[in-house]
Amino acid sequence: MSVAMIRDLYDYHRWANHMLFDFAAALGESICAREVGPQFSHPTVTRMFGHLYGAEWVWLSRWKGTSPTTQPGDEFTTMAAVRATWDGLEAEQKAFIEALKDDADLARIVEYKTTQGKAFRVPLGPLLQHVANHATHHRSEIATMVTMLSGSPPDTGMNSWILARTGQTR
Amino acid sequence: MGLDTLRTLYAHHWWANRTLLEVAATLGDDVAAREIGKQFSEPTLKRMFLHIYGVDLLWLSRWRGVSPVGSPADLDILDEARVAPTLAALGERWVALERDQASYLDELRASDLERGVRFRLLSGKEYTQPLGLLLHHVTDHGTHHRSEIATMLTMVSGSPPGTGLARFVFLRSGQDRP
Repeated sequence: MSVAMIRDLYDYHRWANHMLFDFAAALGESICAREVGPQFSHPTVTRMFGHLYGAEWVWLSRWKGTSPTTQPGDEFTTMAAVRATWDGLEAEQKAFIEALKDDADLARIVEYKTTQGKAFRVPLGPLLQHVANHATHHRSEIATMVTMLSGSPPDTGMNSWILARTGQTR
Repeated sequence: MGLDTLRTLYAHHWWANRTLLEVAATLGDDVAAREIGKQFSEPTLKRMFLHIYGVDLLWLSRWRGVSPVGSPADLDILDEARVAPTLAALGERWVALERDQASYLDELRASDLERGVRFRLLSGKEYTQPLGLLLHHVTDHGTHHRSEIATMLTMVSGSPPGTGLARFVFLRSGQDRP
């Protein structure tokens, strides 16, 4: 594990989240609030982005030594409200990532409790990987939902980010 | 970029693919070949698994210096009738691919991850990118399409077990899921 790898991963993570959020938000609040189907882990695009925000808030709290007993996210009724709150969290998450110094930071054991109170001990590194991987999972659901509501969104795969970062295009 | 991290990501990738493949296999080949909806990037469960498998194979080939070019429909490695007549047949091929990926990872040194890989996409367009990020891309790509598979399975049967990275890390360390 290296800190450089984590920084790259979170650069990609923020890029992909913004790319998809901006595309969905442009469809309008009413479309993003429309129930798309019970097959998705959250029924609307707004709620799915709210879940992404909530999970990232909970994990950042745990990494900093606090274990919240509830996860926010379900309370958002508009994409604008998600964005306004998420921007602050994203800045805080970025500052946390940039403050990581070396492999010892990534090997640090995080002790935390789930919202149900169950205790776990895991090195920070895999948890950092988990949050980015979790977001890829839910962005995939959002991409399918947006396809159903409007049309396919732009690709947010890591390879597209690598190409964009290096000024190459498909 | 850390080799240990990449090896963990690939161990998760293989575990998660197998977990969902086993769930799909219990539903039978007829269900796996049923068209579920145009909203998905591949129309059937089997084709979605084949896509993950085929892309893994393509990237492994590119890392080794060979870039297949052409229409996906014309590529042998994505030929459903040949590669995946059944989910079980695809699963057998996948075990061999996992072994091949594992040996490739085992032979890498940390300095290899910064190496630029020159490759061509199927379109023929050429790119150069660092090997480490390309290795990471393949596991991230798998997560994206497993999410679609989970939604498809939910539609045809019910929610499959979670295959997230945290669950894998916890199971591997003998702890229950977070």
